[in-house]
Amino acid sequence: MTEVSEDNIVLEGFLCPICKVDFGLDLKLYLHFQEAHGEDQDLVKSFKDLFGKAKEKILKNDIIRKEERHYIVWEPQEIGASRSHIEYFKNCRNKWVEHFVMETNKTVVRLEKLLCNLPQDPNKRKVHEQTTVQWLDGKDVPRCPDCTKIFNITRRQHHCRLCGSIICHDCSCFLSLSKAYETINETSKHQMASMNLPSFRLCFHCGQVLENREQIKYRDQKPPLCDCYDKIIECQNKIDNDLLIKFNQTYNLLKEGELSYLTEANNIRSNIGKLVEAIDVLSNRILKMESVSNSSKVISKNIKLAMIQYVRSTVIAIPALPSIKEIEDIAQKKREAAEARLRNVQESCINDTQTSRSDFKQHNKYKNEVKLKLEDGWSPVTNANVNSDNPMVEQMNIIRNYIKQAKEAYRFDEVASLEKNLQELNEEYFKMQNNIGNIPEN
Amino acid sequence: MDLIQSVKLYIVKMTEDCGPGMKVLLMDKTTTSIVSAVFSQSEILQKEVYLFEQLTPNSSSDNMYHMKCITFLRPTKENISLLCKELRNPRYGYYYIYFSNIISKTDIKTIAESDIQEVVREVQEYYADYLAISPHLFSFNIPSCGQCLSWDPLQLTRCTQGIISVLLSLKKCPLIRFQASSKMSKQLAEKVKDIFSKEENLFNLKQGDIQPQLLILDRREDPVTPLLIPWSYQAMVHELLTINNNQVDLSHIEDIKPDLQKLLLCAEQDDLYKQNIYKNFGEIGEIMKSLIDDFKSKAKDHKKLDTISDMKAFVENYPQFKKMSGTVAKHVVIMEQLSNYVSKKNLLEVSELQQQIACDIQSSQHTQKIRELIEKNIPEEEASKLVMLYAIKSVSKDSNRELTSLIQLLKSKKVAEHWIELVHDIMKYQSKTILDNENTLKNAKQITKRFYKDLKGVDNIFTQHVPLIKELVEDLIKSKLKEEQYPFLSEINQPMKKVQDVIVFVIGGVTYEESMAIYNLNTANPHVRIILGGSTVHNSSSFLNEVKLATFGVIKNRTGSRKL
Repeated sequence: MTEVSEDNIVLEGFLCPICKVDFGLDLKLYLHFQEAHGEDQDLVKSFKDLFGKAKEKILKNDIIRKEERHYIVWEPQEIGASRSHIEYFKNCRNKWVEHFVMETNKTVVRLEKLLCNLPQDPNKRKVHEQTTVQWLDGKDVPRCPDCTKIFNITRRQHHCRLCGSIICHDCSCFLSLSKAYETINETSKHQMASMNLPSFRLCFHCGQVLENREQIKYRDQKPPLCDCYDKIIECQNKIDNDLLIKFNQTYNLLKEGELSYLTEANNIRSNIGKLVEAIDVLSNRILKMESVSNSSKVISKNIKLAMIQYVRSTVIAIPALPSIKEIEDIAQKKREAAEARLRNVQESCINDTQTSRSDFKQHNKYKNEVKLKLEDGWSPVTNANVNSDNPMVEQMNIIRNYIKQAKEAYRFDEVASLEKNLQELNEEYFKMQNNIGNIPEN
Repeated sequence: MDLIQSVKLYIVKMTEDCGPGMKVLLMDKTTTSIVSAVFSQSEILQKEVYLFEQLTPNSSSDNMYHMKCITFLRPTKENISLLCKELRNPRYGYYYIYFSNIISKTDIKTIAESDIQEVVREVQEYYADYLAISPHLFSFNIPSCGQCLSWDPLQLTRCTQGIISVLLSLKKCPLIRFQASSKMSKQLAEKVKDIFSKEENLFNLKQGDIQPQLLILDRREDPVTPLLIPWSYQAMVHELLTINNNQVDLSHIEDIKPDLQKLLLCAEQDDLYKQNIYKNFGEIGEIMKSLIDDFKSKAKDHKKLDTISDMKAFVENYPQFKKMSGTVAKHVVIMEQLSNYVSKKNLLEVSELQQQIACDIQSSQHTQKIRELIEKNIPEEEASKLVMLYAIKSVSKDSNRELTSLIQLLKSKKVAEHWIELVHDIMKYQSKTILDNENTLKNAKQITKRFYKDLKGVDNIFTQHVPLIKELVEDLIKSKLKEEQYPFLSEINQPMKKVQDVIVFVIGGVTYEESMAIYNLNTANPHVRIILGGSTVHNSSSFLNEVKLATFGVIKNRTGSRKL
């Protein structure tokens, strides 16, 4: 039974059948093939045939047989209950943040006072510090309030320069002068800081307050990864919201036998290809970026993975374009069908031969109709030279005309509704013809 | 009432709430398994979630202010203090906080006071506090519910919370029924009811005409089902290979390919599995065989890459081809393991006898047959399980003597002491009601049922036993479930005529075999929707572990007359 797993080790990658280069993506391979070996018509043809054949194969004899439904199907459901706490949360937070802001301001103001005219001489500096912030009396504090250890000769009392409270050495942190000036936004006095003066001793609490303030300052910084990522998202949006829609429209037109759209479709296709490639390049750049931490490595890897998936699903969504010959065949068939239809009408209503011919002429004439832009408002133009004895036939001809115009203007929804109208009319017409035929017999 | 959908909808909503941009998902251990049960990595990557982190006391200290952090946690004390710590030194740009269950105002306040930098953008309760294993099956992954045949208070709370979240995620406020004979189910029912009244606003849900029903059962009522060897695919894989969080660990097998060591079995992503999850062993064997033939011929087709067209066809087929070869290879390995076990452990013979004991067929010959099989040196666990089944089922006067001699036989075969202890334990575990009811109407009903069954002829001797839960739920949806045995927690004004939505919860765990029974009931009765849940999903060995822990400290035998 294990043989299977060995059997499936087969050649891997998207190799060009002629130059044997791996292209990684099937769209890339396809584009390359069109560019490099495009002149070889036979090859191109075999390619295109196979596209269809392969699809057929996948659809028809898919290994997984579609069996009866294996899941209970219940009606679609809405999202479950939820409850938001954000209002209460904000209320609680606001009170606290106010308190915190006040404290921060108090601390910063004290720091400003401390730094203003700070003497360089250590003794004078100590006096200056003590007059700015009143220090707590050491006698009242037998233990360090942070770690609750008793002060003695080895564990001496120290004062926080910002709030004047007493702490032990282990429970204090230090603020260098340069950092202190930075905090109060005074860079001009850096010459003071450069003179290697001792730092300020602070308690953890004051240290944390200043640290938080610093952190908030740097919150808006963005790593280079963000730029690349934004560009990727831009490309994705362009493909999803613009190019793919356009491509599908032109593709449908090609399937209708409109040869003139082939170049446009090709252009859109290669544009998508370029964007896909850009995404690929960008995500590779993200992957290669120097990442400081493990997590950012994971992020870049996952972005790359997501983009590979995205590219794959996009490429699968783009069908191959039909060849010129195929389009011509379709157009030919359509023309024949139209003629056949006309002939039907002619046979059933010999009187109307005249009009039908004119209709046929119109059909040819409108082929060269100017393309309308998608964004423009659109309404079909009635052709004055449609005339017929039978109002029904006349109406049908007008509608046929509209359909033609609508198709050229990319109005597929309107084409659909018009075609429905036409069919109804057709049925009505034949009914009428039959009735006419029946009456004499009675 | 699709559980997988409910969890998915919540998580998709989370990713949408915070808008576009790179996201990190910060979770705890439980929520990680909740999310991974319904989402594959590739699916969640498409939602721009690129990093998955667990909230631990010593998380990394990399600052990534460009990321939005979706925090999805259970509202436990530990999580809240860790979250406060995280918010005091936030590593990410903004936080969108979701709790999987009801959280107290005090806790919200504590968190709010840690958010000095104002990074929190959203605080919500999204009730995805359960593992959605199938659309109709949930579990809380609680290996053991308590000791001394009563609740561990922690697990009682967890089960209550879990059931509440299932109900809220489905927007159901049901009538509660419980098993009268079980103290534990009454306690749980009351706890759930308490929350209904405490959180009136939440449960003020728009209901249809027919109120849903929540039925709380106790595993002790039916200790037989988890001991039997199941033959449907999912249940069998769990019994023989153990499914843990949708994963099967095969790393203990010699010379297995590295990519086949840990297999993901997830019906959502694996169509082959999805289609065959309830098929029996024989059927799957057939399906596998035809698949392999098909596959081989395809593989051969693609081996001939002499022309350009062949090559192109290969390229075209390649993604499907590779995906398919992956799943087929996976299931082939699993099937291989299963059939190994079946032949190695004599499971066909064992299973046949198990079924006969469980269904009381030819009961006079049971001891004789058990003896024969034990003499054949079947594995000790299978031998002891047979004796356990006999101990549960036998009621005749001689059975004590027979049981003692069977245990002697096990001892003489050098079966490990703990297996013999388990025979005693399971008798303590077994609910008394089975014995009490044995000679009453219920028994008569079963006899008639069996009579009908015999007339119809049995199509599969390995799957004759019907789990008790199936009969109970069948009665329930026909509104025939006895109110004396399964009373409503609160008085109802008029008798329930119709039943539509049913949620069944089994304290002490369910089995995949029972899940299949419920699935079949759902397909057979399109007008009802039944959901099954348990404290966990058991196979026989995890069930016996729970039995061991549950009966720990129980000294008395269940009846005076049956001392061993």
